[in-house]
Amino acid sequence: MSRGVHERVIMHVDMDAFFASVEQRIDPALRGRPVVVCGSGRRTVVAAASYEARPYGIRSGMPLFEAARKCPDLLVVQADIPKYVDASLRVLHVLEGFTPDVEVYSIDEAFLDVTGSLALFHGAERIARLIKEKVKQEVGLTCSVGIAPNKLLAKLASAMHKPDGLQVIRPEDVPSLLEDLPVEEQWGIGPRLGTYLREMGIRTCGQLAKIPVGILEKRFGIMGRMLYRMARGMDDAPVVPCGTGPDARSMGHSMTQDQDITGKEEIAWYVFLLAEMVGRRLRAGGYAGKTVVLTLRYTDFQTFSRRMTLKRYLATGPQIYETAMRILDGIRLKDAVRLVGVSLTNLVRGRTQIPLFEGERKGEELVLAMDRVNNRYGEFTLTWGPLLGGRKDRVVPPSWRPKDGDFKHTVP
Amino acid sequence: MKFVIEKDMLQTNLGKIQGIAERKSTIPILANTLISGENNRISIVATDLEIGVMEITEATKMEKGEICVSARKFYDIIRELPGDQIEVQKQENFWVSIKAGKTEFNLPGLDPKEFPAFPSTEGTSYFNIDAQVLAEMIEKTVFAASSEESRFNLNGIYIEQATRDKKDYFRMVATDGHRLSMIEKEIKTTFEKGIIISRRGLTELKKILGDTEREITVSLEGNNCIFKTEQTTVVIRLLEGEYPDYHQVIPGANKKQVIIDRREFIGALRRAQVIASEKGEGVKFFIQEESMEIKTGGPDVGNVHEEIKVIYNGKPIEVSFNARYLLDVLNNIDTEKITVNLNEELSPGLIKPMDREDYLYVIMPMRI
Repeated sequence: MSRGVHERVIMHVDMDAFFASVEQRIDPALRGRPVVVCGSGRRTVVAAASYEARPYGIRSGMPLFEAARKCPDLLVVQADIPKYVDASLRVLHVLEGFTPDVEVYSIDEAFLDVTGSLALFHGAERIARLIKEKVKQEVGLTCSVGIAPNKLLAKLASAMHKPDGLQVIRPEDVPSLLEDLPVEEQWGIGPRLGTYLREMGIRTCGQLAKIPVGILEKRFGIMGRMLYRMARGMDDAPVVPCGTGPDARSMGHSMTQDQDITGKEEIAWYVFLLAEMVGRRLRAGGYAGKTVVLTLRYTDFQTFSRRMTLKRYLATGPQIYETAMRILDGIRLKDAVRLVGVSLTNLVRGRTQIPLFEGERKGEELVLAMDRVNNRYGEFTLTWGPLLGGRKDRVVPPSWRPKDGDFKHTVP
Repeated sequence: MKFVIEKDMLQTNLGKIQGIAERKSTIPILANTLISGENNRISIVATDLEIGVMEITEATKMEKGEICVSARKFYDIIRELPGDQIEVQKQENFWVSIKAGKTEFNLPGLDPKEFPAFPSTEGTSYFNIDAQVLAEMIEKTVFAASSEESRFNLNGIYIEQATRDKKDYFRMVATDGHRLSMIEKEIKTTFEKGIIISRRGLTELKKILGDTEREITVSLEGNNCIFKTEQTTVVIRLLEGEYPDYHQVIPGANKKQVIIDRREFIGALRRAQVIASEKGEGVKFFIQEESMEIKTGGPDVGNVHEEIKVIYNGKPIEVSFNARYLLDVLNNIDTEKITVNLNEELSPGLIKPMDREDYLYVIMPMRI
């Protein structure tokens, strides 16, 4: 690929039928068969469908009973998020072997800015093939990779040949590629926006590109300019790595969901999971932080962060969770949420204050013992009750506190 | 209602309640003060529902009654008024007029009946304490209490009756989970069990009563602790919750005792803090015969290194502490020298003013 001076090479790595594939890898009886992963409790919808289930017309978001009707032999597995997080972190580890600029977009997707690594690995396509090989080898899963000049097109490219695909979009391919692309298939244009556009008689990106930006802005506000750029395959959003460098200023994780997250109890579950992941990363690098940042994104892409600075430094999941929940308590939600992010800034490395009270010290020792087990046997082998298996339909009561945080308790 | 009062007296009394009458409160009436007059005496009351204060002072030309006005506005007006004598009079619709010389202010007020009732202050049994002693005890403990909401039981100061060597002590303890400050005075109290008073409650109490020379009467009534002098009554609602067993964290004195000049130590720590503030306040100490080496830093922030003379004759020991936690206590000790008892690298240190048994400080090391 020939590149101009300012041209970037962005890669989007998308795991294939991620939840279902993880289940199939763990349980050989599921391999080669139609499998869906679902939540439990009142919301029984398909969270992920294996490629064997897809010819039956089964899609994620579909009610389970409907999926079962379409495919009588369907195998249903309950979601076990910690298992997926473990696989996700191991994939991340592979990706970080190729560039430090890795943005974890959601549990099964990541963006890489490989512009600086091209010479080292002899080109983007070779990097993509190496990534696919290593992910297969080390995590036992397949992924699809899209290579393009920006995130928008890289995301489009990875979806073009699923599963196990590898697709390059060159700048000169863009106009013909977008000409007949249905607008809903462009990243960021959801079904709702797609419907509005269709009402205006716009079905493809090519048609959208012919609408003057002024008209789009009048109709859609800020979104109008975004639509204008999307229709042309333009995007200059940077790949934002989550800060794992040798002396990080902040550390965080976020998760984007395909479905709406409504209500603080459900958000709490993600906050808990993310807090635990961030805590693990902090401790692995010998860090602790005293400012907790909670980031939320509404379904209309409006994103905002709120922070809280404490006097003491935190490094455990429950401590981070507790602070993030105090931030969440102060937010009045306007809409359902699609992204939840938790990060810590104001970091120090290699120095921790030991607690005065024995109960609290034991609580921290417990966390360190959990770390040792998880380092050896995989993430979330040992974890806190509320994170287990998404059993309570991914809900953590906001009042949940770890028993060890209270120094009056003795840890058994 | 009407009264005439000396400006200075009114200004002093109003100044003391400003910290209690909360301007930011969600309950608007709490930003006001209730002034009642009868028999040539007025009472000035403010409350935030946790702390209540009542000041009683003399006035003349009294007409019985009550007014309720903004505590801040009233205070600002009194401060600016000319002359020595001020006349305050109730007008229609709860308005209040304030006159001095040829100046007259008119201020809207609220219905005094809306103001929360002042709690009963007739404690069943009481004891007395010198105001200066109480102020010292507060000053030497409050800084160690936690200011984090999530640790609400450590936001308060634990106060109890203790017995040591067959003597009775009035004891105050504060901790934030990293360090602990404890002071006791030989006073027989009437407390049957320990109570917890918020950090803010005691800080306000010290502001209000700290400059009197008199004895303060202390009693408990229901869920309130009452501090009284002839002119002033402060009522503080006790914090609920259990205080941790602090005895378990106080180490016994041992042979690894270091004697350090307090001022010299403060100077060295403040210098170290210039660098340490970017490193979570962590400072390393290496103590061996007659000397203590103080160092901190890192490849990104630079480093500092200093040696001071100490009295020590145990085995060499290395330990790290938060510099701010050390400065907090050193600034609250009055003696020329301090003693520091250490045990192992990761076990708590015990700091005391030299040759005094009434004050101690426990500090947990840092792992660096």
